[in-house]
Parts: sequence; C-alpha cells; structure tokens
Amino acid sequence: MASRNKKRAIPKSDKSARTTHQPRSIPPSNKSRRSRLRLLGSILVAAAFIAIGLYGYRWYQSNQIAQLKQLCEEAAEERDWPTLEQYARQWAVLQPDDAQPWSMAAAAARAMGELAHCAEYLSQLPDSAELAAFHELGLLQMEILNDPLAARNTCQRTLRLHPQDSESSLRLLYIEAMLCNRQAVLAEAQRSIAVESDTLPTYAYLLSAFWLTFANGHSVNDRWAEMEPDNELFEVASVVHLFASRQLPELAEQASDTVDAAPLPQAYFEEQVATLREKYPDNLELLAVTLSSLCQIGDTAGVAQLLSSAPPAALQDSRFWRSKGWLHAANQESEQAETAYRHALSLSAVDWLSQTELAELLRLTRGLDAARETQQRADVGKNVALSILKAPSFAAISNETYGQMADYFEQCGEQQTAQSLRRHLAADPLPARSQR
Amino acid sequence: MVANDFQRPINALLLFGCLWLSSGCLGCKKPTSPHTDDQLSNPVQDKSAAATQFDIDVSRYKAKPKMEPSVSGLRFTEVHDLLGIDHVYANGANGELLAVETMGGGCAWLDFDKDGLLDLFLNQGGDPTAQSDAAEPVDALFRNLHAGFVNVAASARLVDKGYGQAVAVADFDNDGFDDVYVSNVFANTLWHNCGDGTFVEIAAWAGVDDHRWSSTAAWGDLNLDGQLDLYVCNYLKYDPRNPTHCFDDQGRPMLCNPAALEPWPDACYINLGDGTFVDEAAARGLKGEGSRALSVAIADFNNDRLPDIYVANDTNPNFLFINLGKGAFEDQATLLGCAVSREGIAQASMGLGVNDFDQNGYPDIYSTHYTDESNTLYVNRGVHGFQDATALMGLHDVTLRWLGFGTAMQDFDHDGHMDLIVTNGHVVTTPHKPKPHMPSQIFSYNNDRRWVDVGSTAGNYFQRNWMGRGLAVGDYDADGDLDVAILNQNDRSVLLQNDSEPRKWLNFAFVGIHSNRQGIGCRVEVNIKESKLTQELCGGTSYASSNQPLLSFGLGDAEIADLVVVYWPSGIRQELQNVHANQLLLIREPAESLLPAQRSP
Repeated sequence: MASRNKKRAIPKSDKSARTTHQPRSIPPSNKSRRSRLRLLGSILVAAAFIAIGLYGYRWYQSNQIAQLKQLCEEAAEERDWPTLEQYARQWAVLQPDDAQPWSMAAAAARAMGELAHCAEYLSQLPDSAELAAFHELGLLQMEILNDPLAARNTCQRTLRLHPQDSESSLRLLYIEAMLCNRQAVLAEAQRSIAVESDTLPTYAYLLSAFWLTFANGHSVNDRWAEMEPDNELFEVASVVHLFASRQLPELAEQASDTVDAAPLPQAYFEEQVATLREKYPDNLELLAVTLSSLCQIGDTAGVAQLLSSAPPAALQDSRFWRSKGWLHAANQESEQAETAYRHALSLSAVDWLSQTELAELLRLTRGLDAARETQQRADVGKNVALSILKAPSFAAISNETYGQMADYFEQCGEQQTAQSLRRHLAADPLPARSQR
Repeated sequence: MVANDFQRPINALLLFGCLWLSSGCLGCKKPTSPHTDDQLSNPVQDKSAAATQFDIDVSRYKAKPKMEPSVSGLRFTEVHDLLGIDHVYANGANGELLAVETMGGGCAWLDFDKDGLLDLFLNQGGDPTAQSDAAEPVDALFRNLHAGFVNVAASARLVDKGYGQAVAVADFDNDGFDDVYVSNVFANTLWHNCGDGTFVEIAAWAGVDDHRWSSTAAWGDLNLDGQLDLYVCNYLKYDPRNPTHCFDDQGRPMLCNPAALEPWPDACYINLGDGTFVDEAAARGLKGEGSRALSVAIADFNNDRLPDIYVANDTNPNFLFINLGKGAFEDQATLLGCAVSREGIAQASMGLGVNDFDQNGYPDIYSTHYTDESNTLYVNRGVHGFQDATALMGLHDVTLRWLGFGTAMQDFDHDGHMDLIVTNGHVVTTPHKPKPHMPSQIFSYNNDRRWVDVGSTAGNYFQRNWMGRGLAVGDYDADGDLDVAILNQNDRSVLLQNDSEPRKWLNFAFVGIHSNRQGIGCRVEVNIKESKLTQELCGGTSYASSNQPLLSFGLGDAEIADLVVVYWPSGIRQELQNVHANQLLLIREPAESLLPAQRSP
C-alpha cells in the first residue's frame, strides 16, 4: 500500500510544470510500465494456456500410451503379431526414446519372419536398450540386411555404451578384418584387451592384424558390395582376399583353358590391383599388396618409387617399413635395411615377416649367431601364423596354438599381452568358442 | 542487467563464429598428423611429406630389366628318333586321378657294359592298380651302340615291372660296374651289375627293398668309409590299389593335395661294405618334420669336406642335413635360409639343380616348384648360409606359369657361366583344369649377375609342350659337352644332343681307391688366370634321375687351366698344373701314403 500511495503521489513542482508547459498526458514511465504489465499479463495467460494445453496433451498422451501399452501386451499375449506391430509402432511414435515399443515392434516383426523390419525397429533403439537387442541388431544388419557398415556402426555404438561387451568386439573385429582395415583391427583388439573384454580370438586378431585374409573373403566382400557396388572398402578387400587365396575366379580360370599354359594368378591379380589403384591411388591396402608383389619380383626401382610417393599413413604401417628394409637389403645398404626392419618391428612387434627378413640380413652381414635368435622368433611367429591361416575358422584354432601365440608375444616383448592370453588359457582350457 | 542479457547471445555468436572459422581453417590446413582422414584426400601434399620421411632416393635404384627371350650360343637337337630311343612312359591314368599317376618317372645315364659309351635307363609306369606285376611293362635300358641305341633290358635281365618312379645309378660295391636302384610305388629294386652285361635283383637281400612309395633316391658316401650309402626319399602314404579319393569344393573328383595325405619318412641305408645296408636315418638325425620328399642332393654345402644332404619336400620346408661329423646330421635348413622361400613360405619343391654358378666356391641350389610358385634360387653365401636371390637375379616371373620337375645347373655351352635347364609339366589333368603340357625352359647366367631365358633360340624342343618329369645330363656322344635326356609322361622320352657353339672345356671323371670308386663327392677347382671355377660331383640332384658321374667345366676361350685341384672324399688333395683344354681327364685317386692322418666321417 505504501508503495502504491507513493507512486500515485506526484510532487508539486512536477504538477505545476505539467500544468504550465505540457498538455495533460500519461507520463512515459507509466506508459511503459503499463505496456509491460500488459505484455506480462499476456505472457502469463499464454503460458497458462500452454501449460494447460501441455498438461492436457501429456495427460492425453500418457493415457494413449497406457492404452497402447495395454493393447500391445494383449496382442503379445494373444500372439497377434500384426496387431502388436501396429500398436507398438504407434506407441513408438509417441515415446521414441523408450526402448520398449521398439523392442515389441521388433519382436512382432521377428515373429512374422520380417527380419528386415525387425532390424529397422532395433536400429531405433535408444541407448538404454538391453545389450541383447544391440547384438541382435548387429547380427541382422550383417546377415539379413547385408549391411556390414551399419553393423560396424552398431558394434561401435554398443562398445561405447558397453565397453566390455565381448560379442560386439568380436563382431567388429571380424568386420574390420574382412574389410582389411588393418589399423582398426589392431586398435579394437588392443582396446578389448585393455578393458578386459577380450576372448581367445581377440589375440588371434591382434597377431594377424596386418596379414589376415579369409578364404571366403572375396565372396563375402562381393556379397557386401551388392548394396554398394562402388564402395572402396568392399572393392579393395575383395581383391586383397582373392589375391591371398591364390584362387582364380571361375571366369579367369575358364579363360586360362584357352591358352597352352597354367593359369597365371599372379598376373591376373596384379592386373586387378593395378586397375583398382587407378581408382584408389592412395589406398594403403592396395599399396601394401603392390609393394609385396614388387618385392617378390625383385623390382627395386618400383619399390623405391612407390615408397617415395606413399601417403603419410603408410609411415604407421610396418609393411611399408619392411619393404623399405627389403629395398635397402637388395641394394646392399645393410645399415639402412636393418634400421628399416627394426622400425617395422617397433610398429608391429609380432611382424614375423619382418623378423624373417631381418634374420636373413643379420645372417648375411654378421653371421649365423647374430641371426639365430631373430630367426627362431620368426619361426615361432610363422608357425602360429600358418596355424591361424590353416584353421577353417577362429573357433577351430587350438589352445595349443594359443599357447604358442602366448610364447610368441612374450618373445616379441609383449609380456602383458602374453600374460593376459595365458590367463585366458588357464581359465578356459576348452577349445575357443566361435565368435559368430 | 539488460545489457548483459543481450551480450550473452552476442558473445555466444562470436564464439561460434570463431569456432566455425577455426574449424574451417583446420579443414584447409595441411595435414600434420599421419592419422587424419584429410590427409588421404590430399595426395599431392601427402606424397611430398612421405617421400621425405621414408627417405628414399629413387635415383639410386635401377629399373628392373624386363626378362625377355635372349639369344645365346646354346643349341639342342632332338636325336632320340634318329638314334632309336623309342620309349613312352605310360602313367596308366584312366580317369581315377590316382596320386601316383602324376609323379613318375626318371632317367639315368650309365655305362653298364663298360664300353665307354653312355647307356640310358628309362623308368616305365603301367597300371598302378594292377594286383600283379606279371603283365606290367618293364623299364627300359637303352644300350649305346654309337650309331644308335637298342633297348636291351630283357637281355640284360634288368626286368623291373614295378610302377616306376625314379632311378639312381652308382657303383655301390666299388666293382667298377654301374648298379641301378629303382624307386617304385611299391617295392624298390636294386639291380646289381654282374659285369657280364647282366643284372641281378638283390634289394631284399641287401636290405633296401623299401615298400613305401619312394619318389627318388641318391647315392653318396655319407660316413666317408669309401662305400656309397643310399638316401631314399619317401613320399606319401597312398595305396593306388585302395586309393583315397579327393574332391574339389564343387564335388568334382580331383587329384589329392599332397598336404592332405600323410607323409612317409625318408630312409638312409648305410652301406656295410658287404653288399648289405641298414637304415640309420633316425639314428643319424636324418629326420625332419613334415617330409614329403621328392628329390635329394648330396654335396658338401658348407665346405667342411663332409657331405651334407639337401632334401626338397613337397609343400613342406626343405631339409638341409648338415653333417656334424661322427656320423651325425642336423637339419639346419631354416637357420641357413634354404628351407622356405624369401617370404617364409614352404613351397612344393620337385627337382634340384646344384652347382656353383656365382663362383664363390660354395654349391648353390636351384629348386623347381609348382605353378604360381616361382622356382627358387638359393645362393650359397658360405658361412652366412643361403639367400633366396630368385627375384633379384631375374628368375621369379619366368617360372610362375610352369610346374617344374627335372632340372640341371651346368655350363652347357662352356662359356664359363652356368646354365639352367628345367623340364615342366602339370600334374593335374582334369578337363576343368589347365592343360598339363608345358614347354621346357633354359636359362643362361650372364655377366650382369642375372639369368636370361634363352629358350627361344635353343632348339625346337623348347617351343613345344610336354609333360616333363625326369631329366639327366651326360655326354652320350663323348664330344665334351653335356647332352640331356628327358622323360615325359605319356609321350616320347627325349634325347637332346648339345649342339651349342663350341668353346673350350675340361671334363673330369674319377676312379677312387680310398674314396668310393666313382668319386661321388669329389670336388674340383679349375683355376684360369684370376678366376676359379669349382664343381662337386654330387649325389642325386634333378628329379628322379641320375646324371653321368662327370664334371664338365667351360673354359670360354682359355686354352689352358693353370691349376686344377681335386679334393677327394677321402681327404686327399691332388693337383694338376697347366692342363690343356678340350679333354676328358680320368683322375685316379693317389696312393695311400697321401691319405691325411685323420678323417672324421
């Protein structure tokens, strides 16, 4: 009250001044205050309306959600899958951040055998969804949607949410290995071991990160490429796996029958690689394969040329340093060769091919005794590598091979990895389980 | 307060703007870390950076000369028809794709009648499933009558009806007459030369009737007792009368991959000096992991005057059994760098050529392989072991297409540099697979430290396709140069007469007294001015075959060898000075008084 009276009380001097010099009007301060008040009022009214509206809508929505949930549960109980899918979809629209409607829609689609729809629903799952749902999604993306890149994203997302999830880690390792993403295989295997989500195959992937190829890698990548024919990853990986398998595709084999000679896989593959290199000149995998071929045929000039123009990412790849070692060794530059081989081994301590070549260099320059230890280590690595390559699947790798693998890690200075692997072997004396 | 409220979004905008600009700048910035994706999209900048960091001076490396057919003085003429050598090795294939069908047979040079002219033994196949040998064809023994050859196997009573794989010839009992050991799919046979033009089979009595599938054999004095011992390469556990059937991934019958069949271990029969032998392979350390042996060479690979054994294995690492003395051997192939290819891969090794092509005094090894695997040249670096120099010396690409079997490293044109002859032919003959017939190849080592393909001018034989297996060299016409016999499957066996441009030469044959009579294991150094050529009379080599026991040196244009040094297996060293070119020297081992005091077998 006091303040109101005070507001209304106009000082005399002011009153006289107004009377004398100005027409009677509302003072500006009052005008502004009133307009503000009006605005405030309007806002308050609007807010009230909005709040009521929102509340009403919320009430309506929660009521509707409750109804839909009820209907979904009834449909699920009655195994009325089309109805369940319909209501679950409606529910998911209203509550997209809730895992339950998506899961129910996915369950309905799964029950109806519509696995592609199932995967679509699962892909909408919020982070709060159960781990098993992500596993199912990854599997469906791989097997049903034929979309390994989506599966890879799912695995990566799952591992962000559940870093110790072994299944996603193994699936991711498989996809990256199949795509010949060497550094990604290495990174995931190392991460998995660091967070102790590793399994026995994790160590096989770690060891073989830079040379692993699959006998069916060509056909798998070709199948994946059906969705995305011009995808660099699929195109390159397909040729790399084929190159390693040394098996001519049917067409090339038939063509070879027209000439008086055995088929020449080397020439065929080199042509394939050369064609792809024109398309993807900086693809590391293609460059590595080319380097290997050039070393194999003794083309020092070709190796020098390729190394001198390789992209910087090659500096982190032991295969390129190994080729540099070979180049210098072939040119009688022993010191440079040894430095290069040792650098390759600093990037990948378990690079048995670099160890083999280094052993030869040491033998030829310093004698048998200087090479003996490196050669023996290389032989252990080679034997483990051959066991991995000969195994029909990672599940078929024997514990004996894993034991040799642990020895090899240790000999290569990877003590922690060796210990970790040995712990697994001690805890799980049974043969390794499949990762898929 | 009002001003502050307005300033907040402005500040936020400014901050956003800065971030946007900075992020834009980062996007344009030259990459500095090798891990960023941006770098891969900017190859020009990247390349310069990488070139610096890999520190490669491209100008230091010569472009690889492309292997193109080259011209040389090497010439070979097919004379088997002219000389009456009418022999076809029938492998008996009837579509069953039996593993044994693909591997035989071999050929051998010998002088069984001691008339100074080389005779030729050729394996025969037949029906590998036959329950009885009664109706089976026999191996051939072609007697050299100077004007031609006649098959005298029957009259010489050398009637081997086994399904033949290989032959190894040597005078195992030091009686001066060549004896014949035949490797068969079933029982092996040893044909003792009676000296009257006939043979008698004594394998069971002698204790060498190995019943396993033997792929080849070689004679050598492994314990340096003057008696030749016998190393027998055994291959796979496979019974053609009750065969294992294999199928490809489309269910089509296929030849079994050797890696899928269990190997037999090799045997090493030590000669007891009374005509009998005892297998001491295991006791002497002559056992390696894997095996599946297809050829063997007995030579002193590390110049310690003790014979070592190199075994070429199919799909498994090769063995190099180093003689440790005192009768013991140790496989050091891996340590010495001749077990696998440069890439560390165990290859499908078939045949072996052994000689010192780089003239460093150590025998080098050339190993023939399966298609899509290059044949491998292991250069012997002496105390440093071996180096796979196949690619660096131009021999990689040229053999990838072919499946090599018999081979020999000899100086066929006597130019002072070694040549390599290889006979090729696939083992797979199914309709959906490549044609099994392939051309033979011949390479010449040149002064540029590279091998060149000289097949295009070496004769018609190298222009046609064959299913080649065994290969043996010998101077059948006694003109000083080495001729070549080749056994082809299901096709004519071939005699290639060496008609190369004549150069100066020196040939050596041996008569051992303390050492084995044929001088197997003798090493000869021929010194001509500044250069020194070294050769050793090896046991075994090639594929399933036996060369004439002769060392043939090409002197180029030199009329005289300043010094010839002969090292006998007994340890005796023998010198000859100022030896004139173009002669065959029959070197007799000196008297007992020259024997060194101690030898350690």
